Order: sequence, then structure tokens, then C-alpha cells
Amino acid sequence: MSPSGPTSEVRLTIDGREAILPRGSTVLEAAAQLGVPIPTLCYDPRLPIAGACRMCMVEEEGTKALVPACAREVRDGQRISTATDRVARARRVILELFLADHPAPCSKARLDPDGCELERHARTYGVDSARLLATAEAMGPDPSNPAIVFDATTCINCYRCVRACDDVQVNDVIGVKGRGARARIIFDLDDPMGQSTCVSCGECVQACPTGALMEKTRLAGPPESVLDVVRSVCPYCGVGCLVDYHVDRAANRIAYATGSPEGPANAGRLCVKGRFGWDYAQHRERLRVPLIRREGVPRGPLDGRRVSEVFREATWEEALDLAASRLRAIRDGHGPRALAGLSSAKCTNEENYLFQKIIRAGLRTPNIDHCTRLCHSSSVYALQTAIGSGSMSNTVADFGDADVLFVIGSNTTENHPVIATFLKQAARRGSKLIVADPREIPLARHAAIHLRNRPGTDVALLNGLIHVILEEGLADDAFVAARTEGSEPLKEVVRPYTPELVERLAGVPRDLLVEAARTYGGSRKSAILWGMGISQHTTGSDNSFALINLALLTGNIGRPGTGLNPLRGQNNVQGASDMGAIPMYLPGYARVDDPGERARFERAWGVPLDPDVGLTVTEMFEAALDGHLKGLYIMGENPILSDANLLKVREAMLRFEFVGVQDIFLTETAEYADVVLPTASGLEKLGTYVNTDRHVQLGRPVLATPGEARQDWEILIEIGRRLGMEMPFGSPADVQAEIQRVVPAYAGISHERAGARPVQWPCPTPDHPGTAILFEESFPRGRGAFHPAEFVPARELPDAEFPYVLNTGRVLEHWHTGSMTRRAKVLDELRPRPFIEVSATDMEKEGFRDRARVRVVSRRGAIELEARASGRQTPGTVFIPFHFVEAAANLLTIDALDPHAKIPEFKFCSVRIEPVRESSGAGTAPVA
Amino acid sequence: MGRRRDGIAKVPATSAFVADVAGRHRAGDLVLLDALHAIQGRRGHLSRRDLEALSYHARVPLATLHGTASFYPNFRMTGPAPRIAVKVCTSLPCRLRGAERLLAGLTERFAPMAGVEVRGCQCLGICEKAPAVSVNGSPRGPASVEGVLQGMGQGRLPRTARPRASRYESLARYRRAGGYDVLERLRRGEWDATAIVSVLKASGLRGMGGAGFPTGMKWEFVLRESATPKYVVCNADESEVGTFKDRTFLEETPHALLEGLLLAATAIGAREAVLYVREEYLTARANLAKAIRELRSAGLLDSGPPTRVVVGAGAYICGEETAMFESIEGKRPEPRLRPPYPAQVGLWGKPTLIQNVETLVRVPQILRKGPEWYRSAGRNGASGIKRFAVCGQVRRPGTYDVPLGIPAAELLSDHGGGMEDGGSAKAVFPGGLASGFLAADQMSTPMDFDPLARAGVMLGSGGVIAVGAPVCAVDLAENALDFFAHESCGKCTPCRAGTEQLLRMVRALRSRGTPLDPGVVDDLASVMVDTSICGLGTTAPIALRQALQRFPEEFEAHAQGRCLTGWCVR
Repeated sequence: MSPSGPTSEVRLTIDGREAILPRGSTVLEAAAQLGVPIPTLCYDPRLPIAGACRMCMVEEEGTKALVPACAREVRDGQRISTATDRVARARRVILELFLADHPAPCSKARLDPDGCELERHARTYGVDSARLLATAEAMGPDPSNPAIVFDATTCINCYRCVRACDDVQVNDVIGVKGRGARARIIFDLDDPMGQSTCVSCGECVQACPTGALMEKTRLAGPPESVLDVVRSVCPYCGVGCLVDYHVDRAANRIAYATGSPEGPANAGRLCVKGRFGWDYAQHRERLRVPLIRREGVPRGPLDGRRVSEVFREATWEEALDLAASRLRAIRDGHGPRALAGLSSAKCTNEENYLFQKIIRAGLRTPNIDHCTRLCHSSSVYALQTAIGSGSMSNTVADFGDADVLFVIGSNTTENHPVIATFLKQAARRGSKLIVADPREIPLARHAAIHLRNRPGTDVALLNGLIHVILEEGLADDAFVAARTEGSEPLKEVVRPYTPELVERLAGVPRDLLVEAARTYGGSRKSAILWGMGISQHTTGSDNSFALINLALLTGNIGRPGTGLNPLRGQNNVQGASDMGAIPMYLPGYARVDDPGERARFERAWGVPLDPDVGLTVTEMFEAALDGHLKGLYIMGENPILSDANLLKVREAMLRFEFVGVQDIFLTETAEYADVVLPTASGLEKLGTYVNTDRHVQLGRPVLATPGEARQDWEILIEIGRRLGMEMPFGSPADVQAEIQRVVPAYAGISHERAGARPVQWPCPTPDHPGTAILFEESFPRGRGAFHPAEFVPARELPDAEFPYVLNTGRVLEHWHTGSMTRRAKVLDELRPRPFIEVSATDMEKEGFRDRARVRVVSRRGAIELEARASGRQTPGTVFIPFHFVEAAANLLTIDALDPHAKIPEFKFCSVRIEPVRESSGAGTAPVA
Repeated sequence: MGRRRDGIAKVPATSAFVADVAGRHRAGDLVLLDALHAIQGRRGHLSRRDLEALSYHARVPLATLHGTASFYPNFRMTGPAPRIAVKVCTSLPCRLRGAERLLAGLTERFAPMAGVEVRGCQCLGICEKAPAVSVNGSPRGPASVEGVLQGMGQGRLPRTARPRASRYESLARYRRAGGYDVLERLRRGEWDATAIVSVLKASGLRGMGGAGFPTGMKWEFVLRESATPKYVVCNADESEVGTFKDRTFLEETPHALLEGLLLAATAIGAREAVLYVREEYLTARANLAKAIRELRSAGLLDSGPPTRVVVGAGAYICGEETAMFESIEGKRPEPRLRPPYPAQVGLWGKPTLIQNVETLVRVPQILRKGPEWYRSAGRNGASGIKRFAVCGQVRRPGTYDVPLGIPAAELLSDHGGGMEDGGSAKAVFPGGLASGFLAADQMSTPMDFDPLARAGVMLGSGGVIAVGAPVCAVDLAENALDFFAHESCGKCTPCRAGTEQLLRMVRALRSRGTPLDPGVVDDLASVMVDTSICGLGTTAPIALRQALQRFPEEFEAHAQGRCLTGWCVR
């Protein structure tokens, strides 16, 4: 209900005191305003109102029965009483009925002397169930979920979990069976929780007022009284959920985690990784002391050797001196361009800023990049070129406003699970969801239209949509005239892309294409969201250009509910890019090859800078193989697993004269290092992170750093000093202060401010509110430029020898190269093994069954893993998640690059599949 | 959906039949209840395999399917279905006529037989034939152990639910009496909605489902709403214990109902007219279907909104109007909070006119004969005619159309034939089990909305249950509570836990002599009345309260292990 005009406020009295509230508010909210206590149980401000527990009943003058305060809308002149005998009797009896049906104390009460929510009310109102017959029925707990215990005995039928699962996360796993006093919570078809379709997001646990749904870690943990709550940022994806960690400081242990209601992108929600995936930080394999490769041990992986056989422990002084001197030696011997640095989208803004500054101003090399190259570099290239800014134009909170949500190349429920909840909610509320994806991804089941185009045909599909939009006069001519340039060539290019042609090229039925075009083009509030299905192609830039063309042509940008929204992958990939950890840009997207911008930084940093754009990640390994690149400094990246065509990357790693790595684990990449510097994990450090919708958020230390491990920023200061740089920073806040000085969009964002409340850049001054929606008036480059693209097939099409199209990506439970998630107990238990998804048709064709062991071979490598019959794949296509070192998907992928952004074609190469008769033991093997 | 613990999406094995049902559900041809009925009808029960397939293809979450289906007693969640399924009605009218012994007898005889299932159930809606049983979905009565056994021996037991012969007024006959004239005049524009509303208002017609809301006013509310589309729903889910009057309209004169329904739908400009009929009304459903076929072939359905019949699945609460909407929408049929009211936010969230069968039947009659005809039909200051279903321990159970306001005693003696034992009634429920009862000294009360309310009871559904002197008040209270506890949806705490608590207390009294604490009963009952979401919770404690108040000595005797009437020690 949208209040407006002079009647938007309502006056009422509660217990004789007047309250004034916006129309549409509830009596409960009015009572809260006046500080009048009203007990509730089924009410949760994050959930739709149920009004069913009848705990909050109050008296309303002129109404016969009592009314539920949580559901009763305020009216002018309403007179509410909460302090009457009648209300007191109702509270008492309702509490008695609950208590008679609830064992005491429940599991939550055992941890918290104040009891569960029900028991706290009972204490407040001095009620017990002595007058009634006990109706609580003992039922054994259901421990089948690796993270959660469901104890039906203590359930009080408030159904907050049902609404949390169905209405907030829209997973629809929890329901209620039966009726009356025998109504019970169920999962799916009354299955054990662990065998249901539950995705273990734990939203139900967070919603449960009693001990019926509890984290296993919390049940094992210390009493609530010893726990501190530390608000920080989730270390995984780009959604950037704010998390409240409930931590036992004395024992240095996290008991459980909850979503912060103040998180701008999560509004209290979390996914399985954020809620249950934090124990990696205390895994026994954490690095605790600096390591130096032993004399005479050639560079290469451990290959089964013990760490101590390959590395020896060292003091910090020795390790830092060695790293700095080797880097210096290469710089002075081979020239700065023989060096390169890989920064990290897992590290803070401050650390990324320091790292790129050391690379550029200390080592004087332009070769700085990080994993953004592998995820959205093509999206950023196209956005920068066409409109002048590479980030998400709108905000997560804004998706609910869109009438049409066009999600393409994004398996959102697994890769950005919390954003997916907002999309699913919007679809349920009536927004039209259009999903374009070759796979039957979970989001497709919520979609009004699923365009199941063939892999690698996005440009054809998008040109087809534009063709129909132009044909049917759905273009926004006024917007095109006022805000864009170059529309005529676009019209020429898309003219041949008729629905008939697109059906042939992309395999999308023509009627569905037309319907999608009408839906997207016919709405004034259409938003586009995309992921790596768009960017990780040799045509990644063209794919993004086509999306930009679509938005510009229909004027669906610069307003709420519209926009171009690349969903960023890592929790600080936006920040690492903002900080200039990419070869084209200095901090704040100042072009390296713009003399004026370069001069500004030369003044600020007091050194001359290389005027050229440096090497990208993918080019670095080529340069190493060519012998041009001699030294590599890596902060928290794992290219040995994350890059395409791994055998080539592994070969390149051997060619360096020096590799220095700082990380929290001895990753597959660190195994190749000469010096390994142990660092603090995200849960142990202070600093800012930028999420996918440009919110700068403060991460706070939750745990103590293990052993001698140090914060990345502290290490960088030591390295910088050894390279002769001035490092006048005593804390991350000091670094942020320098960032504020050199990056105008960050000028108004201090640690203090970001810590109080996340701020969206651009935020040029301390009193600027931040910017939710970009391009309302104009684009950074002035007019938005159309860049027509022609359809070009993927680089390596299937043939008789390699007949299947291999797609790679993530699964819900794992993250990137698995260095964190595979060391998180719950996550690894949920998804312990690598697998390949194959359609049932292809399984039959190739002569193997579900769960058979298969060998997957591409022109570059081969791996062995379990085959799973999957309803998501169309025949001829297969999918492998890339998290698993024992069957690394990137041994297979092709390192063909997008010509502009240099992103590899992770989403398309050709493979063959062979059943394996006997397990050969080894997971990976080179091509014979 | 489709994601198991190991996270791999699977397409469940799907029969062509279930795929077709799922497709028709997604297309809106079948509501979820229809889909569940179709699958159970074909397979005998709702198997995991079929539900998984339905969920996948119809895009309905598994938990919604299980949660919704398991709400209804008529859906069988585990299989295989027995060869013979016997349900014995244990609700009050049947209990008064020996249902307890019948259930015990049948259980004893059938228990050893494979493929035979005997269980108790709540009211089957043929209370005039008590004690009633349902054999493989066909209700019948009066039943005896021998009768059922004989039927089985002779292979005469129905294998599937099938209707029985009944009186039926054909379309031709109904038209000869002027039927559908009013509808045609409305369609031709010779009537309009405003005129109809004023006639209905002038007639004094009130809703006959129980609440007695003025009909004309209700139509006006829906007409006034600007939101579209609008719906008309006919509540034919008559499940109140002792009530079967709507069944006789549906069986014998379905055209009268259909004309009323089509008039309402046309007048308010509904997108669809929905009839929600209880599953046990086999003959009614058959005759209704026949009537609709007649209408269709006569071309009378060519204009105007389509008509949909939705069949319930044995849940009393679906008769509550908002629960009925939820049921049609495929959700668990739990009553909604009000406001908003159905006239604003009803079926599918749209303005909805929902009326009881009898109310709709009266509409064309009133429009044909004029408001005065109806208004002047009452007695003792009442207006209108009412069909009462009379059952219990009377000589002539059945339905009777009488002027509203007829004294209870006269209805029982002149129409019901008086009590079986020739004595006087101990208690008379004027409008079903939920209405409360009139005690012996209240029998002169006019059977009309307001006088009954003044007597502390309700006209309710018009299901009159006469209880004779030998019946124990404690048993009566327990039987009533058993029904409401069984039928409580469980949404709100006072009803879910309150009915259960009171039932257990009365059972503890009967079985162990644990005395009832009147203070506790009063607290529970008062709070149930004060805080329950719908009428089920507010009416559930009435019978116990009245029994305690009228017959305290019977409760005291039970606390000492005695039954004053001897009823409990038969």
C-alpha cells in the first residue's frame, strides 16, 4: 500500500496514548512506537504476516472479538487496549496451550538461560502449563541434514520456517502436513530433511523461535551468554551479504552465523556457504609460518610429497627479504616488464590498492591483473566502451521493482543464491521472469519464459530479440534520440536476424522469441541480469554489447527497475577492479594510457608509471612460456585451477625464475612458489569490500589469526618498504584515507562511514548519500553507443571425435577452486565429489549409467569422474563444475580468448566421454 | 524442485496420464484438487512417484502437494488402497443411532480380512439414514454389520463410488414452471443488477449457510468493487454435522440452484462461477452434472461465464468461505484473516460473491414471485422460508421446507414426527453441531436468526439434531469436541490446541474420572471464542459449555465413575 497525500497518516490510541503512523501500518508497529509491549510468536518482521499464533491479541473498541495486533491495520480514531483482563486472560491461555505442547526446556533453552522465545514470554507473564494436560508428543530429532537438526518435539507450529523457506528464500521445501493438533512440519513429501530438496540455506533456522531447527554447530557450542556478535561481510560471492557471526572470543570459535537484516543486498538472508561455510578458516591445513622452497628442489607441485620435503619453515624477516630481493633482482636484471602481479578479489580494497601500488610504483611494471579477467572482463570491457562504466547500473533491492527480469547466462540460484531469492520473490509477485540459458537451471522453473538457446548462440538470440523489438515498434525512439548514438548500423546488422533464422541458429522456437521480445520490450521497467554464461566466451564482449544494445534501444536504463546488471562473482571483485588491480586502469578506472590520469597518479605516488597497458592474467602465462616474464607475485589467487587449459598454465609456472605467493592455504598454485607467506583469512581482518551493486561494506575480524600468519596489508607494507617505497600506513583505515584522496567516487567513504552503514559509490563527498541507480541523467561517456555484433560460432565446435559441448561453472556448495569450501565441513559433506552432468539420452548413447565413472577427454587434457544423469542438460551438452582439484575441469577447457577482454571460453569446448571399466585411481591424467 | 540432497536435477519418471493431468493443471483446466482426485481415482492412492511427477510437470512444490493432500481425509497418501474401504460415520446423529457398536462390530468382523479397511469418519451427510457408512466411497444407511457383510457376501458392494437414483427435476420440467425466465430476462437486459439487488434487499433474504448475512447487501458489496475479474462461488460443501438440506436441492432441483448461480454470475459480471461440492454427495454431483449437460445442450450456457465444479475431499473446514478459496486455489484450506472480506479479496485474490446453495435457490424464486412472497412467508415476525434437515432421535428424519420462525417444538413434532421414544428432547441443535443446543425448556423458541441468538444458540445451517433424554451430556460434549478437534485446520493456536485440550479433558473425565475444572474450561472456551480466526474455533466449545451449565450433575457423577443416564455404560 503506498501512502500518499494528506490522509497518509493515521492517529490512534493505545492504552489511552496517541500514536501517529503511516497508513498501512499495523497496531503492533504502533505499539512498538509507544513502547507498549505486545508478545508475539508467529510474527517476524522479515516474513509475511500470518496472524495465526494469536499471542498478540488486543482489544479494539467496537470490535467483538480480540484482534491480532500484528495483522490489524491502524485506522483513524481506533482505540486499542492491551492492559485489560480480557487481553491478559487471552495471553495467559494461549501461552498455557503452547507450553502444554512444548517440552521444557527445549534445546535452545539449554543454551540460553533466558530460554527460547516461548519460554521468555512464559517467564515475562508468569505462566506455566500446570492447569492443562501435557500434549507434547515426543518425536525423535531428524539429524539427516549435515548442518541442521530438526526436532519436531519442540516445534510450536508457528510456521515461521515455512514462510522463511517458501516466501523469503522461495525454495518451497518446507510445508505442513495433516491438520489440527496433528499438523506437522514436513520437508517435501515428508522426507528426512537431509534427503529432501533442501538447499541448506538455513533461513528456517534463523526464523525458528524455539529449538526445533538448530545449527548443529550451535548445539555443540557454548552457551549463548559467552557469544559476541561480530558483523562482517561473507567471504564468498559478489552478493556481499552482511553476516552476524556469533563467536566465542575466548575459545576463538564461531558458534553460528546469521544474516544481518541491515545487509543492503541480503536483508537478513544467507545461503548455505555464508551460513555454514566459515570453518575453513580454522582448518588444520591453514598456513601458520612462512615457507621457503628448499635448496635444490625444483619448482613444481608437491605430487604426493610432504610439505616439509619441499618447503622449509622460515622467519618472516627471511621470507620477506627473500621475496623482495628476488623481485628486485628481476626488475633490475630483466627490466620491470619481466615482472607481474596477480591481485585478489578475495582481499580487501585496501589490500588491493596496496598490491597494485607495489606492482606499479614499487616494481614499476604495468603487469597487474586478477581473476576478474576470468569472470566479467568482457562485460566490463563492453560496458566501459559503450557507456563508460563497467559496474551494475542498478541495485539488488531494485530488482523487486522490475516488471520484467531478463536473466541470461546466470545460474543465479547457485552462483548468487541470495540475489536469486529476490528474483524468485519478484516472479511470485507477478514480475515476468525471462531466463535464457541452455540448461534447465533451477531459476527456469520460476520463469514465465525460458529461452533455451544452444550454447554459444547468445548474439544470435539477442539480435533476434532486437529484430523483433524493432519490427514491432517497441524501441524507445525518444531515448534513442536523446541518449544514444549509432542506432542505424545496429538496425542494419539485426535486420537478417528474423525469428526464423534465430530458431535455426539458436534453437529457440520463434514464437517464444517473439513473446520474450514483446515482454522485455513492452515494459518500461525491464532489467537485465547476466553472469558468466555471457562473459566467458570468445564472443563475451559481443554478447555484452548485444545486451547493452537491447537496454539502450528500449530505454530500459537509468531508472528504478531497469538496468544492465552483470552479477559479479567474488566478494570483492568489484572492489579489486575499482582499486586498479587490472592492467588497463589505475584506481578509480583512470586509464593507464591517458597521460593526464597517469600524471595525477605519478604526482600522488611520486614515481613515473609505465605508460602502456600491461599483461592480462591469460597473457601473463603466454609471456612466461615465451620467456618474457620472469617473476610473479601472487596474492590469494589460484590460477593453477582457475584458468583455462591448465596444462599450459602449469607449464608456464615452471618457467618463472621466481614465484612468490601469499595465501591462507598451500593452494595448488602455492605449491609452485619459491616463497609462501601465510596470511589472514577474510574472517580475521579489517577492511572494506565492494559487493556487486557497489556497496562499500566493512569487514571486521571475527577470529584471531592462526600461528604467525599476518594480514595481507601488513605483508604488503613490509614488501613495499623493502622495495624502497614509503608506506605511511598504520591501519587499513589509513589506506582507505589515501584511496579517498585518489579515487573521486570513493572520496566520501571513510571506514567509519562504511562501518556504520554500507555506502554505494559513487559517493564524492562525506555528506553525499551514495548512488543507487547510475545513468539517470547521462552516461559517463556522454551518449550510450550501440555496438552491433554479428553472430560468430564458438571456437571449438563439436565434431565426430569430440562430439559433446562442455560447459563449466559452479555449484551451490562450492566456491571457485574449492580452497575454502572443500575445507568447510558442511559444504564438503553436501558435495564431496566431482561429477559431470550428462543427459539421460547421451548416457544411453554412450552406454553407461547414472553414477558410472567416466573419462572426459578434450584436445587439451582428460579427467575421470562420476557421471550423473541430469535433467538440466540437453543432449549433446555436458557440464562439469570446476572446483575439484581431483578432476579439474580446466584441464579440458580451451584457452581461446575474447579478442578485446582476453577472457577464455570457459563455457564452450568439445569433449568426448568414455566409460571407465575399472577405477584407475588417479583423477587426472594428461592426454595420452 | 528436482534437486535432491546430492544436488542433481532429475526428471522424474512420469506416466502419460500424470503428465496429462499436470499439463491440464498448469493450463488452469484442473484445479489442484481435481488433479489429486484424478490421480487417486486412477491409482487408488497418491504415490510418491506420481506426486513427484505432478510436482515436476505442474511446477507445484512437493511440500505443497503433500501438505495439501494430507490435509484431506479422503486422500490416501500410502498405498495400495484396500479392496474394500469401509468408513463408519461417528458424528452425533449416527452416534445417537448406534455408530459406536457398528464400528466396533465391523472392525471385529473385518479386521482379519486382507484388503479390507474399516475406520471411523466424520459426518457423511446422510444423517436421515443414520447410522451411515461409506463403502468404497458410496455412502449408505441405515447400516448394520449384517447388512454390510451380506452385501459383501453377495458381491453387491460397490467397487467404486457410484450415485444412486433420486428424484430429479429435469430442465424441461423446470422450464415449464418458468425456470430460467429470469436469467434470460437478465441476459436480454430486461433486468439489471441494481434492480435485482433492490428486490433481494426488499425480500429480506439472508444467507442460509449459517451466518445469515443479508443477501442483497452482499451482492451490492461485490458489485461496488472496481477490481476485476470477479468470481461467484457456490458453497455446496455442506459438512456441518446433522445438515443435509443442500444435498436435497442438489439432488432433486439442481436447475433451481444453477439458475441462481448463473443469475449471480451474470449480475456481478463474474469471470467464472464455481460450485464447490463435497465429495460424499455422489448423487448430488451426478445430478448436477446432468443438469449442466442439459443446460449446455439447450444452449443456455453459450453466453455468460463458464461454470466449474470443484469436488472437496472430506474436510469440514472447506465450508468456511475463505478456507474454500484456499482449497480451490490448491493450498491448504486454512481460513484467512478478515478483513479483507471475500467481497474485496476472495477467490484468487479477487472480489468474490460466495453463497450457500439454499440462498441461491431462493434467488430466482424471489425474482419470479416478487419480494413480498418471500418476506411474508415467515412466522413469529420472521421473513422467509427455510429448509430444515431434521435428524437424530426423531421418528421422521428428513428435510422440511417451513416458514422461518416456526417454534422448535412444532418442527420436531409436526414434521419430524416427535421423538422415537415418545418422550421429550433433552437437547435440540437447531443448526448443526456448531450451533449449540436448545434445552428442554427452550423448545418454544422460534426457529429464526434473532430469537435463536437470544436463546444463546444459532440458526446456523438448519441441521436440526434432536437428542433424547437417555443420552449422556458428557458423551454429547465429547462427541462434539471429537468432531471439532478432528476438523480443526490447526492454523490458529486456540482452535488447534484448545479443541485438543478440551477433548482430552473430557476423555480424562470419562475414562479416568479426572474432574473437569470449570474455571479452566471457562478460560479455554472464552479465549477460543475471543481469539480464534474462524467459526470453527469459536463454536467448538459451545456444546461442552452448555452441557456443563445445564447438566452439571452428569459431569460430577462421571468424576465419581458413574453415568447418571446409563448411556455411557450401555
